[in-house]
Amino acid sequence: MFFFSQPSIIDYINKHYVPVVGDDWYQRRRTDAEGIFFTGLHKQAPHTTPDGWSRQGLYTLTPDGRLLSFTNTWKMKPFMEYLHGGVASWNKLPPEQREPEHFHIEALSENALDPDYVRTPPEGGSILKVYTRILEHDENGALQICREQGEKAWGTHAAMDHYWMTRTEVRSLFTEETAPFALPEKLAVRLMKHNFVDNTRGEPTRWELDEMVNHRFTSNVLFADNAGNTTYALSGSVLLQTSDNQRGYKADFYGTYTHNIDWQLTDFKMTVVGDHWGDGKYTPHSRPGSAPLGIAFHLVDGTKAEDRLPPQGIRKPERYW
Amino acid sequence: MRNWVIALTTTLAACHALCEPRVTPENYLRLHQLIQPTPEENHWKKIPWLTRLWDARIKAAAEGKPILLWEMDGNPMACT
Repeated sequence: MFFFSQPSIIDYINKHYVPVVGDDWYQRRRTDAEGIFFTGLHKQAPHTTPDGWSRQGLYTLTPDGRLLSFTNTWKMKPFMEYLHGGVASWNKLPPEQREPEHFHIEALSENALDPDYVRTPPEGGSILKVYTRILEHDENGALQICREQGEKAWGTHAAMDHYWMTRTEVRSLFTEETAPFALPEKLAVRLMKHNFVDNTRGEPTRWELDEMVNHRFTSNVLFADNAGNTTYALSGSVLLQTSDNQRGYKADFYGTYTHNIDWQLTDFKMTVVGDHWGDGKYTPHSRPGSAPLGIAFHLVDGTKAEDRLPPQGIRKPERYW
Repeated sequence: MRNWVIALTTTLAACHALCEPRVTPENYLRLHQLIQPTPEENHWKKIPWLTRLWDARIKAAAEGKPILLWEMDGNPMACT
């Protein structure tokens, strides 16, 4: 996000481009019209991975799929050349290749999408937004944000993901009893496996079941009001660790969540903080030893497109649900 | 004796720091806020990113603009 946080770059993109994001894992596999279109675009791009199996990168293109410029580096100079080069190439096109009256692109209906590679939030379920951030201690031992300047700041920014629950799973968060109860194991495992991870430098490595050394997720009713709203506390701790102890996360957490009279989840906030150590497959360059890693969950209503993007862990749904 | 008491106190304090939960009912909202993106980190939201390439085609065609596609393994707006 570093480049896209620079005011001059934001202004330039907003003036000259229609910006869009894509997850290459899905895009390179889908066989619907969008997948075919993207494959056609990628074939025009220079690429460095063997056989072009990865199509990651920054592309500029015409609405009908002509590649204008491409880069796959995050160095400022080539990035700016890519941005300006795309506009320069666009401006050189004859009017019939860039003016609105020459294009006619039909919308894709939902049932025309490749069902194997399109994920939508479960009907009637809930979406939690998940932010993850590396932290450090100040001179008094309090946790604070790590401060780095320039391109080094990238890994210190909050990383994002989502956590999905079905309607039935949401209902299982609630009780009509007063005694504390354990969070359903399925939900606890999903949290640990896909979200109690370090994704601050790239795609995270999930935790396997045998790496969940111990965990405790306890819910209890905090209070209920006369309108049918009940608020719970969720607290506990985890120790996640590879068998060789090269990677691990020892953390504890506390949060609250609320349901209304219709058993709908209306609020959820949970904070996880612990010590993380080691690299994942795609997340090298972790800090030496163990260091604080924080994770924050909160409920979103799913009305924004960015909040409906699928969790990183749901590429293979059978591993998620 | 005094040194022994100091050592024991230090050890207990260290154990307390390690064994006690870091996240408590009193501090979890403050830590929650600390982990959230800062206003500076959210500047990228000033760019109206679409999440479907096909929708970008339609919009770009209507506006007479080229498309900027940010394609990553892991959605740029939902991973890392």
